[in-house]
Amino acid sequence: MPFVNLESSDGDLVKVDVDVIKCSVTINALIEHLGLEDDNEVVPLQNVGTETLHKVLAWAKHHKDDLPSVDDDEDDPPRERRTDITTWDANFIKMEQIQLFDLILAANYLDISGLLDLGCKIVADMIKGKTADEIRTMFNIVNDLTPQEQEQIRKENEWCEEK
Amino acid sequence: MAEYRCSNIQTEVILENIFSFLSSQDLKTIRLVSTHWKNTSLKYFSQKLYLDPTNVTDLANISDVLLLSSIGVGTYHGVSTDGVDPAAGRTYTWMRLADNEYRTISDVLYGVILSLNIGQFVTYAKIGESHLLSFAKALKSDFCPNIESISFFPEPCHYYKEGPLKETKCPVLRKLKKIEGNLRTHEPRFYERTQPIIQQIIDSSPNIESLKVNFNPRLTKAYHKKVKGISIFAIFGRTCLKRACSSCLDRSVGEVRDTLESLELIGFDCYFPIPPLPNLSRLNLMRSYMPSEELLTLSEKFPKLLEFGTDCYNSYYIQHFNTEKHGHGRIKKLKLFSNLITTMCPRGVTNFKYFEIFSAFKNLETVDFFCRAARYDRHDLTKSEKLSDFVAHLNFNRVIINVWLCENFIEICNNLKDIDLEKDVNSRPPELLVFKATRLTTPFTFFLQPYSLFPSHAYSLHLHERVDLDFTNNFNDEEKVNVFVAGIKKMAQRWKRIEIKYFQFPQNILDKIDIAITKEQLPVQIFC
Repeated sequence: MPFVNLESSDGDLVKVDVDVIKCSVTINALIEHLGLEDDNEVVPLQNVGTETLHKVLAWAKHHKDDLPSVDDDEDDPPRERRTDITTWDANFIKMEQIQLFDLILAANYLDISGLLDLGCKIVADMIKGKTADEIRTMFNIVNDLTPQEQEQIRKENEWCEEK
Repeated sequence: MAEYRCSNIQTEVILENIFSFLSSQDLKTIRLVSTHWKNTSLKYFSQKLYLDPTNVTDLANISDVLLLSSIGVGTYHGVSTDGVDPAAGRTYTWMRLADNEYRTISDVLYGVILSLNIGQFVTYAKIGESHLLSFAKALKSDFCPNIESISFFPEPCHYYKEGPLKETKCPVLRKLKKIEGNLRTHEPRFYERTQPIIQQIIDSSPNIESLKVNFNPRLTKAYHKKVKGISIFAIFGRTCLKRACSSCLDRSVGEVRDTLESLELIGFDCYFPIPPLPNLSRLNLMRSYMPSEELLTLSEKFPKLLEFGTDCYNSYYIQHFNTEKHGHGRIKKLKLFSNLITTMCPRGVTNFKYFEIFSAFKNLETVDFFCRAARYDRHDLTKSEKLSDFVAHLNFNRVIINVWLCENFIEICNNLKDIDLEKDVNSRPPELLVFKATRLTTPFTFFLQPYSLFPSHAYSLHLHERVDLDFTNNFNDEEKVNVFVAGIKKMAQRWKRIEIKYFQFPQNILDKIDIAITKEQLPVQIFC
């Protein structure tokens, strides 16, 4: 079965090479579970809109031949994560914040770790150097910390040293 | 819609991924964003930063979570404040150690707590199995003299590298009343190491009242006569069971027969006679066999028995007893445990067959039902009118039920307080993926039934995960939307006392629901 039809939440069908989308753990599992053998069968993706799905597929197509990432061994001590981004990825990820969030949600739902990491790296870059107020505005977060709690956190931050 | 995305992107998985790319300075900043961000960032915070006790200027105000995490514990989810004595004025607790922690962290923590001189405030300890020895050493040096409760939990074996505990005397732990440990019994070498350590702690605790252990404890000291509750796990097979119970129950249960009020024997697939216990009010035989002649004498041996827990094996025999004559009629509370493999039940006593058996217990007030059945069990309950009627009038206190069975079950129960829906234990990973949708959909297809029998007396329906209709139902169909909205409105009155967590409506549903009804009559956290 070289192709599979993916149905976006908007109801649009997108035909895609199975090899391209093999990076998605969710879709692989759905294909396996549903036992799709026919090119005309449809895999419904009720959390992914058409526009986002096309973005996901563009990323998957470009990274089709990438080697699978090696999972961190939980026994290993924590280490810094790589933050370098390729030029292609950097150009690909240039989009409005709202589209970026959609892409991250889709990557999370489809369980595509490479794309999720890429999106999260970009969001982390957006957070870097910002104040707590600026971050709250960016994510539309209500501050539920009392002034006393904030004061305590500030103190605790001062007592902590980098390992 | 933008708010929807902002809120969804802040799930723990995604936030943790984002935080993993941040520097320690940025991690300090994001702690100030909100409580959710502060808690979620703790894992990476404790990986990159540590609390230097020499910097601390105001010990009284330091958060216990930070204290424990920053010295390397790193289990942001495992720190518990249960059991803390508020009279102490501080909230230092021990910690739960995660699987991937440093082996010697207990020693490190021990040192830090000692240097801060806060050992006296530790009243509750939750210890990983691999740190049992360190903790026992700490106890022996009078590290936390005011400890009241100790809880152990299992960890991977490869961290357990420490040598045997020397036979030195442990100081008297006067305040220790409770020891709880779910340690592994299936690995003999662990059993052999942990059992003597816990026994030494028991021997040093003159006021111990409650024990939950994986071996048959020796309670022969005169001061052990205060023990009120014993739970013994022997769930990993006969070999360990024999080891656990080599001296029968005489040296444990038998020694405290006059004070014992609660006894749990878990996984005893061969029977060790229980001595008569005049004050026993609670007997739980979860996956434990009791011969029929013993079951016949329950009321004689345990004249104050009010609560009885059992599973298929024993239930089969109970059905043949004369309820009044054998005293079962006075039992007020039942705990029913399913057998994971229904084919192993004697002569087809499937999970719902329980209710038929216990319908003779006329004084039942509450039932806890833990049903993890296979899916082919699902239609049993509705077959018998008599059975349905009995179940309808039972007061279910707590129910854990396989989602494949829940629809039938909820349909019949009138008095149901708390239900947890569980996944199918036999599901393989690909099934789980599809299953997830089924689990989330099931309650809602049920609500949509025209004459829904959702229990009006129920007050708590806990759905473990956020129920997101967008994910599970195709609500593009206008007719379906209207039916659903009508169902919501109709049920709103009956749901007044029901706490439903994480009930998420898609926008097109919310638009159609009268907001007044939603806010005033649906005590539901609503997301859109």
